[in-house]
Amino acid sequence: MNILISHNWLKEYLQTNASPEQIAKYLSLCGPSVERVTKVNGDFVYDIEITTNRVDMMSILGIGREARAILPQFNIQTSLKQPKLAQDIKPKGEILPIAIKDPDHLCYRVLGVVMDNVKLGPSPKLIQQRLEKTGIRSLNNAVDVTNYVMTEIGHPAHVFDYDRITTKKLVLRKAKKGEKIISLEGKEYTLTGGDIVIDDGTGKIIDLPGIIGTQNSIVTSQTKRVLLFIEANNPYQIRKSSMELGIRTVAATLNEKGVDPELAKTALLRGIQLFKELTGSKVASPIHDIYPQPYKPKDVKTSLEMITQRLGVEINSQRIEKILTALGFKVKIKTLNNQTEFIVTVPSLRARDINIPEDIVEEVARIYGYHNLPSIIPPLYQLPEKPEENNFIWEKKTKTLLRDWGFTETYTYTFQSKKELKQFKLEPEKHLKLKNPLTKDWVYLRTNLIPSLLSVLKENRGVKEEVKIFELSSVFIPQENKLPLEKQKLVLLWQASKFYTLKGVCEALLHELGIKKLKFVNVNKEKYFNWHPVRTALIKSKGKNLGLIGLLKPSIVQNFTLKKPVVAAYLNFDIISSLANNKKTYLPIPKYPAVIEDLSFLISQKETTQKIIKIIKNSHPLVTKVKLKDIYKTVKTFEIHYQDPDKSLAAEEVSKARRKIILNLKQIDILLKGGLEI
Amino acid sequence: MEELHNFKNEALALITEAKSKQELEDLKVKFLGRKGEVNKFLQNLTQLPPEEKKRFGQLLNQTKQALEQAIARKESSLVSQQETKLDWFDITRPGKKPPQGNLHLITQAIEEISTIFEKIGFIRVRYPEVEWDWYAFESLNMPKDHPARDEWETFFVDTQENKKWGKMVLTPHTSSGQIREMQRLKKPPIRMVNIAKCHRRQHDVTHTVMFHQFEGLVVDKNISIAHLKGTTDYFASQFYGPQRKTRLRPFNFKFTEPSFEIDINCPLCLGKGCRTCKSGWHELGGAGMVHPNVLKAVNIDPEKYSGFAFGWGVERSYLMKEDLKIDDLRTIYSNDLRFLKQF
Repeated sequence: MNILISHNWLKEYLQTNASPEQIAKYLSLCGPSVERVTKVNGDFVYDIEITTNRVDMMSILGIGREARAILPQFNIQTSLKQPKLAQDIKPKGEILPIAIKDPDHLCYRVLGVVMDNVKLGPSPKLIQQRLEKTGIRSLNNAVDVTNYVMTEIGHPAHVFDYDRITTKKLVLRKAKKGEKIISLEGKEYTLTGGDIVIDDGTGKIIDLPGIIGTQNSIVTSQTKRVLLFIEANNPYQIRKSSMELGIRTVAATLNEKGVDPELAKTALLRGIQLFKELTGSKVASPIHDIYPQPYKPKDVKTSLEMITQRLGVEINSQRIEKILTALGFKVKIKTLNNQTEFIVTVPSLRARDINIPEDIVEEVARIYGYHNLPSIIPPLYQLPEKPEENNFIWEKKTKTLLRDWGFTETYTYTFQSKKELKQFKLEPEKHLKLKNPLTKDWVYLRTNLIPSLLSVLKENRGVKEEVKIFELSSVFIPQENKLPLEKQKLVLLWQASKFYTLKGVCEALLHELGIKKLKFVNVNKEKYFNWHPVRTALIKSKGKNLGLIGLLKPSIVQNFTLKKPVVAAYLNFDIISSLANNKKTYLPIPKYPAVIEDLSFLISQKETTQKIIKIIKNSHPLVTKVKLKDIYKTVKTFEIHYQDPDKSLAAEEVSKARRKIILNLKQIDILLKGGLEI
Repeated sequence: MEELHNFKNEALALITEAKSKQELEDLKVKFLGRKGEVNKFLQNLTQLPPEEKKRFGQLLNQTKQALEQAIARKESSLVSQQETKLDWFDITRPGKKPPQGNLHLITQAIEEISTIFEKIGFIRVRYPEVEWDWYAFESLNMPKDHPARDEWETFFVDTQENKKWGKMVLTPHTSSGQIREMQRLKKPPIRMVNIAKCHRRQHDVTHTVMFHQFEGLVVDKNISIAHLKGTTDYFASQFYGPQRKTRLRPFNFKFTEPSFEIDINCPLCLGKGCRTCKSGWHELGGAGMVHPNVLKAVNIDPEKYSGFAFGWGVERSYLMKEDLKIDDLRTIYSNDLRFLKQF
């Protein structure tokens, strides 16, 4: 949350010679972050970001307190004056009655005082200017006092028209669902129930405390008497009501962070003082104060050992004490057996955010200055164990190879739309979906990457060259009562009818990953209904399913308005990683030359190359290598290597092996072309 | 004898006039091959009377040597001729490039980041993108009403809540990885960098609904703020350049105490302040000393051990480094080939 602080206003309390640049710089280094300093008519305005745990800084005096502790660290003398407060004494003269009740203890503290003789009018120029620099509109002197107090002291304040509270009664209660209010801006709100409201005793709501005033009780141009009212609110309820109703006033944003109830009294006394100065009014009632549980100071203990260890630098106790004292803490130092202990008493202002020794460490460290700490790479004595599944090397290798083979990597979003699922004939019910999606297209957590990449092809329809893309990402398979199974999938899409070329890429990739023995199997066309039933293969190795490679069904591809055919590889990268290895094997280089010859066969039947090669290889032990060399219509030519590791082969030995090959193939009706005499 | 003499002269002449390597090779086979001319003469040798045999043999040997030398000389002269071939040659014509694909910017960024940390002993890990509330928030000391846990900022999965672990969410930060890693190792030393996808319910010029973060965590005995500084300074100098360093400023996170915002010095003025950067520093991301409640949630004793953690955006950090003027973060995930093919 941000606050705009006027430099001149700050200087009314902060006595220092520091320039605005210095104040901005040093505050940012050790405390709140000054995002910008703007020059405004002989003044400077700091735009300061304050973290949600330090609502105590959201004021002139809050920043003043920080500066008072920080600037001396940079050798700048600084002191902080206190604001002029009214005295807390019973007024002389007529007492105006007011009854304030909080029977259910909905607020931590409730304060009220009646002011009489209010001369309503514009505020003095200085007050108006200061409020404007803070970003608050000046309305009239009565309302301005509440905003001035909030900005200066840091506690929101409110002012009622005393005479409009006809019952002279204010009762804090919880709202019932459906109750309505009209805010001071004239807007009607329906409460959801549980909101803290002020009832005038007749059931009528006359305020939404801590958030916004209501039209029926606020100050008007006719106001002569006011009730100055400050309550310390329950931060959770304030946030709930404020967010649900959508009313985000400055007061609400402060109150939902939990402002110090002790500060409420200071704010009231300051308010009274200003009311007297600005409106000429006088106090017409004692100060009503409902404070069931006043702040009991708490102690947080820490040690010199802990502080020096956490900072990573030697620092003496006196320095620590000085820092903490400057921040408003009370410090008792105890030494026992060479151990120095600090007992730190926490002021009410810091009660919410200082609870554990680490909080004290932060206070010391930031004022000492993080810039004064050394910079040391943490020493390494022992390497932690790597996780079992360490696929990163295989990922890197895979992506680099695909890049070198001309593929472009994509990163598509995790979500798919119902339309995309339907276009790929997937069932939305079998997917996890978001309860609170951002748009209607990003709803389902994908179980298959392909639709996302088909959409990429669609997006790039205008491209002239062949599109070759790949992606390695997770898919999410729903599991009952468990987190979804996150599987890593590698998908390659090639917008061309290049089955064998893509198959070659897959074979080469798997080979580089150490997976050399592959089997290609026909697919079950019911299970893989998005793929061409015949031009698709399941890739297997060591009995495991590595994935699919094939032509996507043209009708599916057309659903994505793509006209060209698409071949795809969809691989299970987890399984591939589990089989991937860098194992090296060495086969001694044969001493004797191999006999290499080409044999051409007439393949009239529909036999797979895989099968034929297997038959040839198994025909005779001398056959060491078989490669498909050429295809021309129904003739397939194989390059066959015959080798004996111990000697050079004679022609008759090769003939013997060749005859076996021809015979074995003849048994499945595959004949040697040219009809060699056996 | 005379025949041999004539043969030698003819052969030498032919060799000298050979115009190509192939021609020379053919001549070599013709004269010196197994079935070549010289060997034919050798066969005739056996038919000669003894005194003539010796003389003929010597002459034949000389002839053979002369031919071999001539061939060798002609071979090298042909080679050097080739070197000084002076026909016009267009050296500017585009070469035939091998296939060139592209690795996504994010992949390149992640690779660079993980290598930097691996060099100082950090182990790379990756943890689920779909997580339980307990891992994403509860164990990280975030109270139930923290804004990050409400439906405006985080994506919730439409499924039954788990009695022990709470609602199912898409993790908005890699910090859930801290808990997972500490549970895996059970006790220090812990030294990890978790780089993974995160999702948040915001999509505009500076936010994408899906993005990547890298999260570092070191837990051991006597880990201090100085160690966090050392690590971030090391990263800055490796990733951004030798004169780049970081600074820590106070901030507030629920899962760290103290918490910091980390800045990096401006590449142009190195921290002094200039027109481009104004303050001299650019925001990098958040960090802090691990909150004792977080250690307790995974049964690590905060009295014995301490640690630091930091979590930064991959996209943001990388764009700052390369000075890539990509104005709209959503461009990174656009998948337009005209964008992808630039890297």
